[in-house]
Amino acid sequence: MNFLPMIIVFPLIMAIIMNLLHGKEKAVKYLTFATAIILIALPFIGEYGYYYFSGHGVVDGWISGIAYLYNPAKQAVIITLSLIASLVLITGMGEKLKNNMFVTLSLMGFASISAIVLADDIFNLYVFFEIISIVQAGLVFLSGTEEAYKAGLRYMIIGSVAAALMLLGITFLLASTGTLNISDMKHHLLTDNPMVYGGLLLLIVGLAYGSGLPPFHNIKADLYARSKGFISAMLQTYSKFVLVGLMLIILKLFNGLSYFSSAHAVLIALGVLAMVFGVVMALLQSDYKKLLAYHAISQGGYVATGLALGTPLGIVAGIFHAINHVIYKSALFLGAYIVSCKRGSNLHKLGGLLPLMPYVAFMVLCAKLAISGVPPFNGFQSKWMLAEAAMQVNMPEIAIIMIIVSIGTFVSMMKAFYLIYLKPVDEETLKEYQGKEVPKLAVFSLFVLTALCIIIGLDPSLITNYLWDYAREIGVNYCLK
Amino acid sequence: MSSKRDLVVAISFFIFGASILYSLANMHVNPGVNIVYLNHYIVPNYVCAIIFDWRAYDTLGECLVLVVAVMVSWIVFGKSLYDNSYLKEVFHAPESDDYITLQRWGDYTPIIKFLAYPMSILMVALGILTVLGGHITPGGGFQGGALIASGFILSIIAFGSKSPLWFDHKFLERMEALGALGYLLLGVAGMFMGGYYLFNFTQINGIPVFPAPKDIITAGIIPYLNIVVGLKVLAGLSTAAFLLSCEKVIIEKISKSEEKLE
Repeated sequence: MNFLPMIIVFPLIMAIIMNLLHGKEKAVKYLTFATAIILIALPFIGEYGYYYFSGHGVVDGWISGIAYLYNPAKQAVIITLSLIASLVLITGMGEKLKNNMFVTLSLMGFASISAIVLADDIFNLYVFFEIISIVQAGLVFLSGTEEAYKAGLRYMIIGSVAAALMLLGITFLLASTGTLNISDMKHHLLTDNPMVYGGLLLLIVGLAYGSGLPPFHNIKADLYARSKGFISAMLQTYSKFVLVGLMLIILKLFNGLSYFSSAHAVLIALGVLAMVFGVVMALLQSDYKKLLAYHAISQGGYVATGLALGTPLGIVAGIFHAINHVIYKSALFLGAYIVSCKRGSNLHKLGGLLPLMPYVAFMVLCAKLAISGVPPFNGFQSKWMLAEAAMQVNMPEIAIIMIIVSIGTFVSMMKAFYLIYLKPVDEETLKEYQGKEVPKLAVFSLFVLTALCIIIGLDPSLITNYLWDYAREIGVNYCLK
Repeated sequence: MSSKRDLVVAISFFIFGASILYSLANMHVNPGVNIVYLNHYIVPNYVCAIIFDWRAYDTLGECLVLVVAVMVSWIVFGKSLYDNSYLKEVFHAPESDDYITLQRWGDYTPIIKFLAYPMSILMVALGILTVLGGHITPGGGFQGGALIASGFILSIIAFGSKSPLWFDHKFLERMEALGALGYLLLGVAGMFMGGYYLFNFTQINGIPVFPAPKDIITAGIIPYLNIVVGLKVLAGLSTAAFLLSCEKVIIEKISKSEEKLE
């Protein structure tokens, strides 16, 4: 028996059970820990290939039911996702309030992102896309401040429009091809029909909303900045993998078709704009979490650009960068969470934390070097691949923009490091710091993520070996002249 | 400044709308996979066959959208918040012991009360009928559940917290979880019976899962899926209406979570 659907069903069952356990602190604690351990094992229980729900496979030449497609590339994405999810769940256990709704919503989010990545059925993807947009707003509401309410509400209102537009796009594609299955749809898209253009346009609207590309980058950054640190780590992981899942589907459907070349340009432009906007906004921020939030947008732009190039190397680089990015950005958000336990996240009020927690400072420094693309860390490897992919299709200007944006990232990250850890402070502040504890579980998670940054940085083939087959299948080699 | 901005918005809106209308004007509908659905007979109600058999997994997702929406509305009104000082500012101390305070609305006339009660009972009965007959007649879990919930809401609007038709909010919460869990576990059962998630099995060791007259094709687990979806929809919609009208529950939630935080 193939246990592939358990990747989605098990977290959902646990989520519903956790919802019922409101107020029972001990049960919540132990069950959360058990679930976090089991999550890591989930990506290994499925078999590769197609999986047909309800046993409805190919009937009369059509794939009649809902299908999932599992392959090494998707497995690599889900392994990363489950690792981050379980680390974030473990970090959440260190909070004073053993919060069952946080666990419920995180598990729901985990299940829906896995479904989006796995789905070979475009309507199934939409259903889980809808769940994830509500879940993200709910996770922000959990922090309970007025700004959090505003950010979540804004996200939901825009989301109802954007997700509805995406549904319209899916109906366009359904009407012109007669099927919802992506592998089947590919064979029927060849007719040159304006409706397919309309469907592609509306899918791109959904993509930009789900992953925080412009014009939706502000609401997304607000979402990351207003939630608690470890929840932001979860949220940015979700949106990176929504980006990867949706982009892979768009590429699988349209890559290589004659009318995709103009859409290509639009997607690359979205990615480049996200890159530049994100880093420019980040340089202006005085709030540490907002700074990190805009960097998440900017790195999302890198992923989108790499995937949008559409060549096998570009696709590998894009997915690889997404995986690297969620690892080091989660580490940074956990660092921000540890700092905010001491004293808020306003950069001008912080300072002098280095002697109090030298290990945390060192690990955060590693993550900061990784995000700026400095050699032995993983960020360097994927940025190198991205630049290589841009050169391969003869677009050196994109490689140049990537390098400039990396420099901007380095500058703002080092500024934040100085203001938080190195800037001298007076005696009173030091006493105030010593009165507050460092969350130990968060430090543990931070350690695991930093170790991963270095390991992947030393041996990138650990991840890239998983990705090449699928990238060769959906990628198309070309070169601008 | 603002007029320029309006102009840009108007132009982009126009271009976007025109492109959608242009693609709609060139619509050629391909029947595609729908022919498969029409040729392979599962239950008399085609819509139900598609929703609960061919695409049962999508229906699970749609249910979960509602479940998550209700959970998030609980959070908005103060369940398990990490910090509820803002919410405490918004909601003040309760004015009376009633769950729903009718003073501000004014009381309804006896005519409305006289009509609303039998009406809501009829709606609940019709809802149950719609849920149970979902696989042979038009309707199903979603519609039936919504009917029952609207009967409940009608009764609450007419009578306030003295409503004769009353579900406790904790009971509703449990019922919703039961519905969602039921759907998920029926799917797992299908996995063990037929090898695929949400496989529609008609019998266990020769005993039919859903007894039916001989001249009707047996529906397998579809009626059970209808029932759990009905439970879930009825509980979800009632909870949403309940949360929007009962300040007292919210205030209780806030004060309870405060004890825990300290």
